[in-house]
Amino acid sequence: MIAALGLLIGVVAGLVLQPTVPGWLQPYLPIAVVAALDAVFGGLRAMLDGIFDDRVFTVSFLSNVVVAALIVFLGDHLGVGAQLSTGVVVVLGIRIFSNAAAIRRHIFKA
Amino acid sequence: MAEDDDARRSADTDPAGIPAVDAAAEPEPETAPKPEPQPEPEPEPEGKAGAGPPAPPEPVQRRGVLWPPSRGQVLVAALLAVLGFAVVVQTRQTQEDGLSSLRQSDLVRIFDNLQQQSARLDEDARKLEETQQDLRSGTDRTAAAEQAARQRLEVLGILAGTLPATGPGIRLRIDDPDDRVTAAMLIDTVQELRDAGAEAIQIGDVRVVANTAFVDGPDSVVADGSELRPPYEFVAIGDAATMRSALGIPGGVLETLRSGGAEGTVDAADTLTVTALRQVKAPQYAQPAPARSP
Repeated sequence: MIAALGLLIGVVAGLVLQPTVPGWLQPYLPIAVVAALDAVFGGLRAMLDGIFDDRVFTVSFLSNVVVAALIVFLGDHLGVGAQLSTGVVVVLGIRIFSNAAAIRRHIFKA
Repeated sequence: MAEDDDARRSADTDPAGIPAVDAAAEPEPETAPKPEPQPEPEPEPEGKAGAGPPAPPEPVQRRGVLWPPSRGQVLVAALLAVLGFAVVVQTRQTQEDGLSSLRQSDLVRIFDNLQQQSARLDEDARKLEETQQDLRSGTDRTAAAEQAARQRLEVLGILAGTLPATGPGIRLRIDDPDDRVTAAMLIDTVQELRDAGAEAIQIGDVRVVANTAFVDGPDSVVADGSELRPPYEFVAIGDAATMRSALGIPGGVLETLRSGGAEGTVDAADTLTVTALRQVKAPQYAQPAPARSP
């Protein structure tokens, strides 16, 4: 409940403040967002499984974001940033889908 | 203690997503919180589970429902707030402009594409301009040719007698009360006028051209099939003074007529009009021969 409230506060803050993404962050923010979405779906699934843990969620969220950004950063410096970004997005997308499937089984029993 | 470890381990692995395949293979994830418990509790490379809370998961969940939120829950809410914020910001950024968020290699590629496209378009524009110039000069040439053809048509029309002609010239009237004038006399008159530079000649209603024929009829002269009656009215366009003097020279046309019993009178005029026309038939047998190149 309070988590959903936090999400809502973040969205509203983004809509109200309308900040500009600094240049150095622009290549990494989309990937970080996708990684964070992956962590959120994982947390949601864990909650439905009854094994949710704040600390684990926090750590996985932060590590996901950092690792994703790091991979893109490394790729940019190796000259394969675009391809590596695609790879990261694909992997994270697959994970999001599988987590979403588990959540779906919980909710719809199907 | 072993159960705690297992629970924590699966709690860790699930959000991190490692057993995604396990989860997909499990028909009932609820009933299997410990899928294939592995002997070592912390084999994960992340090692996040090592700092897991000692409390079992059930109290954590129960506290989540109660109002005073735990520090962990506040943290989760904060993270989600950051996520929502980032999503909104990124979405807005992506909508705002496409270029500033691209990395250098993409920008270089786009720039290259634009340059190639620009070169192609330049080439296209050059070709189209050439075509336009060609068409324009072609139009000019066509207009010039049309102009030349029109002039040629006028010249030929006056020569062939298909066009009326106007200009300075003389009017020659031959009175022939005794009907003494013969076709030969009229031919001599016409030849004299031509020698003097007459460009268009008309006798009565007959236009005199290259193939005009004068024949002596039963009681008058027939020119090109139409009978001429005295007095014979000549209209000749050309240099009036030359024609007048050519007709009046001693032993010339006027003197011959006078000796034959007829009387010719010449009037010069600044503007005369030859109105008689002649129909031109297309040649039946003769065709233009191809120009012979030397």
